Order: sequence, then C-alpha cells, then structure tokens
Amino acid sequence: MPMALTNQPPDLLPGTLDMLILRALIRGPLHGYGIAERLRQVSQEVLQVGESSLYPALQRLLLNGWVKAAWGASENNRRARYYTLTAAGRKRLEAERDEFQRLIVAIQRVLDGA
Amino acid sequence: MAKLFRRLRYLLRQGRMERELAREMEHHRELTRLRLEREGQPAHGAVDRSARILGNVSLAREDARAVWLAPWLEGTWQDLQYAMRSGRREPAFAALVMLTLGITIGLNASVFTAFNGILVRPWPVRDPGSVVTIADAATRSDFSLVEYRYLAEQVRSFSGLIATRCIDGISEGCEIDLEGAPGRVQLVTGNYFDVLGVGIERGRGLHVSDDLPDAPEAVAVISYAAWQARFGSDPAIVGRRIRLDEIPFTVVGVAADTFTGTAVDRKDIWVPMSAVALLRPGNADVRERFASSKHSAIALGGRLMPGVPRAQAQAEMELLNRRFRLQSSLEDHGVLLMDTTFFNNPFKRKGTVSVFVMLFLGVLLVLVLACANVANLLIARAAARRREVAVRLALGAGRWRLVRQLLTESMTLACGAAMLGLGLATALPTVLLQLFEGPVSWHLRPDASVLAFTVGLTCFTCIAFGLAPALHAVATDVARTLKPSADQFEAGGVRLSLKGVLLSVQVAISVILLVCAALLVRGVWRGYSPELGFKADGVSVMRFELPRSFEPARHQVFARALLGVLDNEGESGGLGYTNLLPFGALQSGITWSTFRPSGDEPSADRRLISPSVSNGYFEVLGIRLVDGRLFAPGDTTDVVLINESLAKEFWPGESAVGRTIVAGIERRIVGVVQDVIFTTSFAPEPTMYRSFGEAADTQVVLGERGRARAQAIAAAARQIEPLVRITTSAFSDALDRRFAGSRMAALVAAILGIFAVTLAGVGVFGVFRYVVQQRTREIGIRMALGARPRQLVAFVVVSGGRALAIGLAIGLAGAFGASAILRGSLHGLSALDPGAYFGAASILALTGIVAVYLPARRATRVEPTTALRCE
Repeated sequence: MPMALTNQPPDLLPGTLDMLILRALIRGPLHGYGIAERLRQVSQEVLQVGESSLYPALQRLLLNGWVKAAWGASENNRRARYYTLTAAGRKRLEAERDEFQRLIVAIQRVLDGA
Repeated sequence: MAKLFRRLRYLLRQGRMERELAREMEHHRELTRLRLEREGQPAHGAVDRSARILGNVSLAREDARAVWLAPWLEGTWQDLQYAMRSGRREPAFAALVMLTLGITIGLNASVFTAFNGILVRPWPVRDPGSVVTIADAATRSDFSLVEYRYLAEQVRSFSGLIATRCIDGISEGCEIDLEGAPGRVQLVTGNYFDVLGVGIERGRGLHVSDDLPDAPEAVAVISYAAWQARFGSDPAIVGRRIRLDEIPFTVVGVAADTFTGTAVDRKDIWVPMSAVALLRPGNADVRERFASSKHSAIALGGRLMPGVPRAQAQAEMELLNRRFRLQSSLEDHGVLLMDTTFFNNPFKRKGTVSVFVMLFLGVLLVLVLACANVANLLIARAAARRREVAVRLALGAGRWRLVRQLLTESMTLACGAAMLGLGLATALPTVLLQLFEGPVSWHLRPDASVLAFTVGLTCFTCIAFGLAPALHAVATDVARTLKPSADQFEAGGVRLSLKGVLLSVQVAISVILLVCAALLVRGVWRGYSPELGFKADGVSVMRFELPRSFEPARHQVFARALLGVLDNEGESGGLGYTNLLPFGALQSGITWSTFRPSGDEPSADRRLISPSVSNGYFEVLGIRLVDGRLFAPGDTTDVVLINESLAKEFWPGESAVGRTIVAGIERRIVGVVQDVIFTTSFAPEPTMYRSFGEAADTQVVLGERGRARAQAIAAAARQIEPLVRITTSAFSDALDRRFAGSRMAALVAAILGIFAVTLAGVGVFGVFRYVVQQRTREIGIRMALGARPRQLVAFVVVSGGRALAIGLAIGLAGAFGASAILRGSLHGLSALDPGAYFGAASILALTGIVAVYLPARRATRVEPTTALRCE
C-alpha cells in the first residue's frame, strides 16, 4: 500500500465527479460503496472518493433526475440503495463527455504550446 | 418542473430521506472497513483509517441535504433580506402599510373571533359532537314538558334526553331574585348534568332524584362566575343556604369555569325543573303551564347512543313526536335534529346572523379598501423603482424571480400586519360583544381557527395588494425605461388605467362606509334629541319589586296600599306615577290595546298604547296639556286623556274633548296632551292615558321637588311589605342603557367610516402625487410655454377626475343598497336622510380637496429647468 494516500480526493474539475459517477453506472446499477470502489479500481487507486463528496453528488444527480435509486440486497446480504442510470442521465453523460473531451484537448494544446 | 416536483417530494418526506441516507453511509463505512481489513490492516486501525478516508460524516450529510434545500432557502433568504432592507430604507412607508393592513386584518379577525365564539362553538360539554338539539321543524319552537316526558321514556336512539326552561317562559325571561339582587336561573331536568357531562368545580351536579315531580328538592348548582362574584368564592359554598325569590334553596355544587350554560345568555344558577312548584307556590297559572301539553317553552337536547347516526335518531324522534301529537290532538310538523352550535339553530340565530352579516360586510369593505390603497401606494413606489427593476432585468434577472422578490416584500409587510391584527383580535371582540344587549357569557379569545383565518386572510391580502403591482413592475419595457429620453407621457397613460380602477374602488367603498356611518350616527343622535317630547334630565324613577314567588293576591294588596301612600305624598307636586315609562319596554313589555272611535265599524280596530298615569306624571315629565283638562278627583275609570296625534287623526280641525272612543269599553275624552315617543320606532304612536285603576307595576317618577320624599315613600312601602325591593335610578341612565346597543353600533360604524375616509384620503393623495411625479417633464414644458399655475392644477385634477366621478357614482348606488339593510337600526330615520348623505359627501369632498390640492400645488412649483433636466 503506497502511503501517498490522502483522505481527500484529488481536486477534480468542477462537475467532473458527476460525470464519472454517471460513467460508472453505465454498466449497470451500483450502490454508493460500489461506485466509489469502481472509481478507485478503474483509476488505479488515484481517485479515492469519500462520502463527503460522493453522497452530495448523488443527491444532485437524483434531484436532476439523471439517476434513480432503489433499495435492494447487497452482496453481503444487507439492504443497500442501488443507483441506476436514467435515459436523461445517459444523454447528459454523452453531452458532458463531449464537452470534457473538448476541454481536455484544449488544455493539452495550451500545455504543449506554452 | 419535474425538478420542482422532486424537491417537493423530498421536503414532504425529509425525515425518511435523511434516515435512508444515514443508513446508506453507514453501510458504505462498513464495507470500507471490511476492505481495509482484507488488505491486512489491524482491526482498530482499519476503523480509524476508514474514518479518515471517508471524511466528516455529519458534514457530508449536511452537504447532501443542502443539495435539496439550499437554492430555495438561499433565494428566500435573499428576498427576505432585500425586503427588510427596503423596509428600513423607507420606514414611514413600511409603517403606514403595516398599520393600515394591521388594523384591517385586526378588524376582520375580531369579527371572526366573535362569530366563531358565538355562533360556531358548540355547547361547552363533554364530546359535544354527539349532542344534538331538537326543535319542531315548522315552527322552530320548543316542546311541552309533557311531550318531553313522553319522548324521554320512549326514545331508544338517545342515551339521554334533557330539557331546559326559563322560569317564567321565554318572553318573560329567566330573571330571579338571588340573595337580594337579580340573577339568571335555568330550570333543567335532573339528568342535565350527567347526560351532558358538565364539568363540576365543587360538590356535585343535579341528580334525577332531585327532580321528582311530586317531591322536588330545593337544591341548586351555581355557576363559577356567580360563585366568585356573588359569594366571594366562599370555600364552604356547598351546603350553603341561599334565597331564590325569598325561597330557601341549598347549593349542592359549583359548575366548572368552562361551563357557561347551554343558552345564549349567561346563567348564574341551575335548579331542578320540578322545583318550579317551590318557586311559584300558589300560582295556578304556572302550574297549568307546566302541566299542559299545549304550552311549549321547553328546549330539548340529547346525547345520541354511541354509533347511532343522526338520521336514525331523527327518524325515531319524528315517529314518536307524531304519535304523541296524534294522541293529544296537536299539529305535527316533524322534528329537526341540529348540532349544538348557535349557528345551526335557525330559531335562535335569527337576530344575530344579520348583525354579523353587517359586520362582515363592513370589515370586508374596509379590507378591500385597504388592499386597493396599499396596491396604489406600491404602484406609486414601483414607479420610483422602475429603473431599478429595469436594470435588474437587463442584468438577466428572471421576471418570475423578480415577481417572487416583490411578493416576498409584500408578504413581509403582511406578516407584520398580521401580528398587529392578531393583537387587536384579542382585545377587540370583547368590545364588539357590547353590541348585543343583555347578559352574554361567551369566552371570546382567538383560537386555532381564528389563527387559520388570519393566516388565510393575510395570504389573500398579500396577493391582493402585492400581485398586481409586482406584475405591473416587471412588465416594464427595459430599453425604454433605461433610455433617458424615453417617452414618459405614453407610459404614464397606460399605467394610470390600473390606478384609475383602484382609485374608483377606494372612493366607492369609502362613500358606502361613510354614508352608513353617518346614517347610524344620525340615528343615535336622534335618540338623544329633545324631540322625544318629555324631559328626562333630573327625573328619578323608583321601582318596587316583590319576590315573584309571592301569590298574586299578595302582589295586589301591596300595589293598592302603595297607591294610597303615593296619593298622600303626591299632593304637594313633583311626584307622579305610571305603569309604563317611555322606552320602558325592556321591563314589562308595552301593552297594546285595540280601539276605534265611537260610531265606527268594529272592524276598523287600531292599536294604541294605554299607560295608566297620575296627574303628577305629566307635570314631572313636562308633558303639556294642549286641550281640555287633566284627571279630576271625582272622575270615573272611563275618563281618559289622549295624545295630539290621535286627536288630529280622528278629529282634524276640531276639539277631541267630549268625544268618546271604544277601547274595551266606551271612554270619554276629557283632555289632549303633547305627543311623546314611546318606542324605538321613534314615531308618536296613538296613546290613551287612563287614571290608575287596577294597580300593578307601579313606577314612581320624582321631579326636583319630589326627590326629597323618596325616603318617606320607601319607608312607607317597607312598612306595607318588608320584603319589597326598591330601586331608585336616574331616568336618563335608564334611557342610556336602552340606547347602549345602538350607540355602540354607531360608534363602530363611525370608527370604520373615519378609518375608511382616512385610507381613501391617503390613497387619493398617493395617486395624485404619482400623477405629478409622472408628468413633471410635461408640466415643466407647459410652465415654460407660459401655462398658469391654475390651469396646471386643473390639468392634474382632470387626469384623476374621471376615476373619482365613477367611484362616487358606484359608491352612492352601493350606499342606497346598504342603507336598506340598516333601516332597522336607524331609530325611524329615513334611509335617504339628506343630513347623513350631505355630511358624508362633505367629509369626503374635504378629504379629496386636500389630497388633490397638495400634489397639484407641488406641480406648479416645479422649476421648468429642473423638469426638463429631470429624466
């Protein structure tokens, strides 16, 4: 275990966490912990999302109607709330992804050019 | 929209949502700890580390909740701050609006409090929902005691049937002599306290065993108020002997403070129904009334069996009622079951509801007036803030957001006003209560429904006075307002139409209220004017009362002996007596007799008032003899005096002396006296004075010279009958009490009217100031071109004149309508009384002139150069 772990997630660009959560849900419903785990594993331990940012983000997504939540049984046989991507959420993800790509390319260009 | 819906759903289920979130986070934490353990962390370290990874839990929870709530709260908080700021910036404006609305809301809430407390509140008994009152469906009248006994025995759908009665019947009232001072007694059946579940403070309620028709008990329950006021909260009250009409009774209990009786008026004491035989011994009339199935003065009520619907109980009651009435060959009209609120009893609510309709109409008009007024003020202020609104719009503020902001501002004002209003509503209803004559017993305090009413009213007012100006303000054309050379004249014209309507409304309503107030005030004034035809100042009245429990013969012996005393004392003048004083109807009721002039057809009978008087009566009250002579010692009982109106009607242009009229027997007229007003119709009624023959209800009037002999008369009367109660009071005080109700009504109307005219004045002033403000530039140009100040004043006035004229016309039409409702309270004054209309018109005109003149003069003071530069 590298000791470089921080208890704060690395600063993300505003709005990026929402997009990442939506992306994590694209393969099927997950509960809160599942989402955090998925992000941690896929990012190879770089993105450690704590409760303090994950749950407000999930509430935001619920409020906007991009995800739905439903109670179900978790793998360790406990009740957990599973989040599912909605049609609106899928559309939103695409839009954000395009926008993000554009932004990344732009930032890259600036970094390369300077 | 969907977002708003989701947010609302969250708000509605906030508690559950937050619990779910907490559970979810707990689960998350658990799983994180398990993972860390799997990865080889020691157990205690894992807890520690997972906590560190996850961060501050409660902060996270706060953040999550804020997602749902923050924008709303934040927006509202901003609006509130903005409203407070603008309130502080113009404290005079805020105070004016809050005072106006506060008084108005207070007036409305007060009337509602009284309405709620008097009409809508059920009897103060246990579980009033299952208690009903029962009345004859057609006549709305009550039942006989005989029928009550039959019904109570037969009925199955009631767990108990109760009956109440006044001791001397409905019209004669419930008055009784309680320990030497008047009290109010109610006869109740023995099961009354048990069936109704009346709270008892001390001792016990009445029992069925107290109310056995053959062996009534001399026991009584007294009210809490009577216990405090009449017996000084005597701790040994239970078991104490008291005298009711000089008959000894034993107090067995004190009712709870909350129990104020089941009648409209306050009751001091309850005794068993059968105790009437004790209270009126030797009085065959009373016994007859209680035993007859035709005499009905019994009010019925009862508690339904649990689970029995009212319809079923009604069906059974109707059946029993029909059977009884068939048996005793009485007409059957069916019965009516009603809940115990005053309002649902059509028989009892008659007089009261019309009073409330008038009050509600009055205060509602004031409310509309106040809303129109405040709306006008807000529009005028919005004119000053048009630039601000335009800048906000230009900077991208949403129109709805701005409307919301402006409405929040009105809401803040309205809330302040509501506080003031509620305060008023706790104090004012008690004053309103004085409008009703007689002793009433309600606790009038605002309760939950009053609070709900006030809140509803506040929301309504807020929207009524806030929405139009708010919409108006944001409907601004941004570009035009911000451009310095914007054409103001046109905009002003459009804007004025809404203001014009509001102005008309204000003028119309204040005309209505003012005319009504003026009519009522004039009516009361009439009650004090010397046109009554008699002199009340400096006259005292002595009354003699014997306990009503005395046998009729004993009353007569006393009355005859008293006349002897009076005739003896009255020889030197300044003293007279009568059995009926003007406006004395409250005491004994005016007795009307029929009459016709001799020789007329018997069918042509007319009604007249026929008091019995002594010669001294005319002298003391200053009633002049206009023709013939007064009574003389040798006169027989068929000798009468009549009043001028009667003489003029039947013998116009001739002397009535020596003529005869038939009133019972043929009577000879020996003299004619001046007209005197006897009743609240305030018209001279046909009157025939007889000399004192059959004596009863003797009232002595004492003038300046007679006053000294009051002592001697009282002493002589006590010698005849030691138990006589003698009261001496100023005649003018009695008249004052008689007019107290209408005087209060006039006072309330006058306050409403003055409040209305003040509001209207402020409103008109605001509108014209606004007109001037709008047209400063135009006025400046006109001034520069050489217009005279007078022309300019006319110009300003004309611009609002049409709205004023329309308002005046509508108001006059409304006042005609309203005054028709008032006719009963006008003391015979015509509803079209020119004095009232003229008075109202002049007050309004004066207010109008001041309100128009001040801004108009300001217009002429505008420096042309300033005006031209000003925009």
